[in-house]
Amino acid sequence: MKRSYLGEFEEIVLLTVAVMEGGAYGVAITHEISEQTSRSVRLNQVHAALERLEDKGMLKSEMGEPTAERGGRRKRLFTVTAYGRRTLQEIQDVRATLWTRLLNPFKPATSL
Amino acid sequence: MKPPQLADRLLTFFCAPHRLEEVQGDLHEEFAYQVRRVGERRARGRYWWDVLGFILSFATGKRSREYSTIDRTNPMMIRNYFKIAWRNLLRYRLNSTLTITGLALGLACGLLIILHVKEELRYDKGFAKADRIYRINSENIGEKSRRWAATSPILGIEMKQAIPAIQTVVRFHRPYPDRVFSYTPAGHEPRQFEEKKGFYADSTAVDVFDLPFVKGDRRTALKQQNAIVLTEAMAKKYFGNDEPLGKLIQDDLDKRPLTVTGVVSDFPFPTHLQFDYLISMTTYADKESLTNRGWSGFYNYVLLNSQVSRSDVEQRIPEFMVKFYEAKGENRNEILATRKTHLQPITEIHLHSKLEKEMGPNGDILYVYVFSVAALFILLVASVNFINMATAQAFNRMKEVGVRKVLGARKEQLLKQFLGESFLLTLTASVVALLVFWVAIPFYNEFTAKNLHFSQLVTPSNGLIMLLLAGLISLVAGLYPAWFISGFEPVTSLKGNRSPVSSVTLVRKGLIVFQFAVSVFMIFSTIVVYRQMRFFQNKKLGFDQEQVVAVKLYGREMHEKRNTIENELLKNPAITDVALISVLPGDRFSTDMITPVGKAGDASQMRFMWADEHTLPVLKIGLKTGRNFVRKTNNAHFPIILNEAAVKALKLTEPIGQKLVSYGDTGEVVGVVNDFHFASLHTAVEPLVVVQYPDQANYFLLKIHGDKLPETVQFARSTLSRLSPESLFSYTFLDEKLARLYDSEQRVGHVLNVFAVFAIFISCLGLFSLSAYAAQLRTKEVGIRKVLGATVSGVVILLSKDFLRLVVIATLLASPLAWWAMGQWLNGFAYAIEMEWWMLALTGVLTVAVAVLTISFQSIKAALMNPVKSLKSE
Repeated sequence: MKRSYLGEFEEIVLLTVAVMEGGAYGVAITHEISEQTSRSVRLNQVHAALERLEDKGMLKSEMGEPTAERGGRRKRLFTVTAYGRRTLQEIQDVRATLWTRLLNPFKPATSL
Repeated sequence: MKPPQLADRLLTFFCAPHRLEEVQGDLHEEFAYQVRRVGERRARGRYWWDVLGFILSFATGKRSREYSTIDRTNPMMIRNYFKIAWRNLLRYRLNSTLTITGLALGLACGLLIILHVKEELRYDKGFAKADRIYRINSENIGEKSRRWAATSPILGIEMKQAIPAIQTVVRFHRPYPDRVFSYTPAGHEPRQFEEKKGFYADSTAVDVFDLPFVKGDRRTALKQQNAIVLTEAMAKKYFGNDEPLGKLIQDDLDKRPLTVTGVVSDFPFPTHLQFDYLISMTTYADKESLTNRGWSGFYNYVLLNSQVSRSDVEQRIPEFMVKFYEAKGENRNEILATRKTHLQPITEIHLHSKLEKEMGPNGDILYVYVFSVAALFILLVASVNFINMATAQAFNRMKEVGVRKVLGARKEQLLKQFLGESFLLTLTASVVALLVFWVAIPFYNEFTAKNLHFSQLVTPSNGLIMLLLAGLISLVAGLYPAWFISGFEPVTSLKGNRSPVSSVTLVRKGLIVFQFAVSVFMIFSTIVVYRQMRFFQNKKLGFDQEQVVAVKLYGREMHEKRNTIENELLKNPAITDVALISVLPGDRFSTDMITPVGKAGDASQMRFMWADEHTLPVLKIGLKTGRNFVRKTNNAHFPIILNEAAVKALKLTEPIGQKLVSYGDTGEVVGVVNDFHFASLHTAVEPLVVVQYPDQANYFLLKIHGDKLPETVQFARSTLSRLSPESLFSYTFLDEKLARLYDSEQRVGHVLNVFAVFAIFISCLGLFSLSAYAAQLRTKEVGIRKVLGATVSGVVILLSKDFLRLVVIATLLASPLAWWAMGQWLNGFAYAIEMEWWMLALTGVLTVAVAVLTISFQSIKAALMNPVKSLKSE
């Protein structure tokens, strides 16, 4: 089956959700991404990406526990579906294949 | 610590309800985190930033995914919208043209006025220190309070010593009389001109007003004695392309050479401070007058410290005033009761200041309002047109809307489509408006005596204004039709049921009434303004300004030869009389205190005029009692003639023979003249003192007989240049001069006239297409009526009367309003016309006539149609 197209940002979000194992919701994901990739990420971008991924069926979500900081509002906790995991795996495989076919693997530069 | 509430509320409004909880929760959590990390203030900023991010992403169509899954910004769909819009535009060519024309005219008007108002409001705001520069005004309080723009030469300086919050004082003094300068280039004729716009100025002016020097050293230019700074235009006039710096220019009245020490460019913004030259204050010769506390001869500007406010300084003024005038010999209570000093922000001078001795004529905030309202009305009338035509057109689009709805279009989508169409139309109209604007600019410049260029329009801010205006209009005009069209029921619209919806008919009727009410208002205003202008021009002024030429008297040389010149002039049979006068009617008459001997309590401020024994006969001013001046031999004598108002103000029962004192000189009243209008008709006749003292004269008045005006003026010119070769010859016709007093009203009259024509024209455009539409709707009905024997006139009346009724209602509604508003305007004049019923009647008849003409074109066409044709088609 031909898998859905994933944008680079979507891929990162999806991976992050997978990494966070059950504790993934909007703010936490945003913080995690900006820590790991050190790029500035806006909350609404993450939300939009999560929504898109859920539409594509790669994520599923359920409402979590409310906290005081959130003014008693619940979190939406995301988990990766089997389809999502498979998509990630496929992307990884494609890359791995391409890397192995690289004749002159990049080496750290030693001299100029 | 809570996140900004307004942002939260905005979010709630925009966010899809089923997403709100998590989004808001996340935002709050993030806020709490950021407060810990960067502090509350910055966290609030970030919160807004995040919320805006969400709102924007909702606005681009991600708000709700519950129903439709079609991407609504699909390019195919948009292309379809454009295609349909274009087809409709072409298909209903007449209607589109009328709509666009109306909108374009409205937009052009609106744009012009916005620019005009922008320009008026920009006055003096460009000075870098504009918010700290004030002009000192003084006010004498009494029976007739007067507020002066000019004040004593040392008022500012002493005020600065008393109130340290004043950082700098700048004084300007207009040379009196106007200077004549000359420059003789080597081997050329001398270049000699009269310069009316210039001042003696303190060297502080350079920094306070940031004079834009292009040549010369700004620090020293106005410090040396006998130094003059010119504008580029004036430097060019005298020196051509030669280097002006260091050249000598001669002040021909004082016979004083001045060194050009600097050249400045014009200010890049409009300002009340208009000058062609500035002479350094140290050059000012009459040093004694510089300490005169009672002479209002200087304009005092102060620059306040940046830390103090105007009220801080104003609080300290009364105390300073007491000290200042006590030195002049007045007592404390008298000073506090009769004198006041104000600080006037420089930015208020142009629009809010009409004081004695202004530097030049100022604008008026009233007319800024009048123009703005008029422009707003024109824009509204044009928008109304659009609404009416679009709703009428709507029935042509019924089927389309039905089909779109059946295929799944939602109301919101259709709304967007039609709003988009109205925006496209408005944009097209804007382009046409620019063309109209381009054509209109010269006329505008003529009306307002301004100098705008089309190129000035092309600035980013004006482009933005234009775009905003177009957006606003398309919203105002497009929203209702779009809402109305998109609300069609698919079933009825597909059936092609064209029965007019009553709500829209009502709205349309209301809008037509509004349009014509505006037109009536404008036509009535125009009539009143024109009548008032006619009144100004025809009112008997109490003297005869016709056939009188005023020739300026320059300097000592001309004064010394005064008698010879008079005699020589009288040799020409066309010149029947020659008089001397200090100031021309229509110019500002200076004021002085005058006290009747023996009745010190009746002292009063009065206008003064210095004249000789010929003045009254030349101007044909009627004597009430007493006699005219006779030729006098003794200069220590001051015979006086008063006007009636002065007799009343001085409470004289026996004016003839009464002795009056002014500034130590005593004179005796020999006659009383009827009140005549020596100032403009805006004000009532003020008390006037005419003193026989020709040494103060500045003009010859030549009474000319017959119709050989140009030849006679030529004769005067050659006589003067023969007798006084170094002087300039400059002359004015008194009647022309007086007519110019009403320039600003005249301009308003013109502008209103143009607006009235536009308003009625645009309204008629609307009426025209609506009547066409109505006639079209009733084609069949008319056919059947004709078959059954209706006459053409009967059908025309049938088709016209509904519209005519609206126009009549509009006239009735607008009349009292217009009556009241113009009454207010006329109240501003001391001498005004009475509004009469016929003016309203004329307005009504005009409006109805134009409306009838417009409608009948369509209804007659419909009535003449062959019923066979109209009944055959289906």
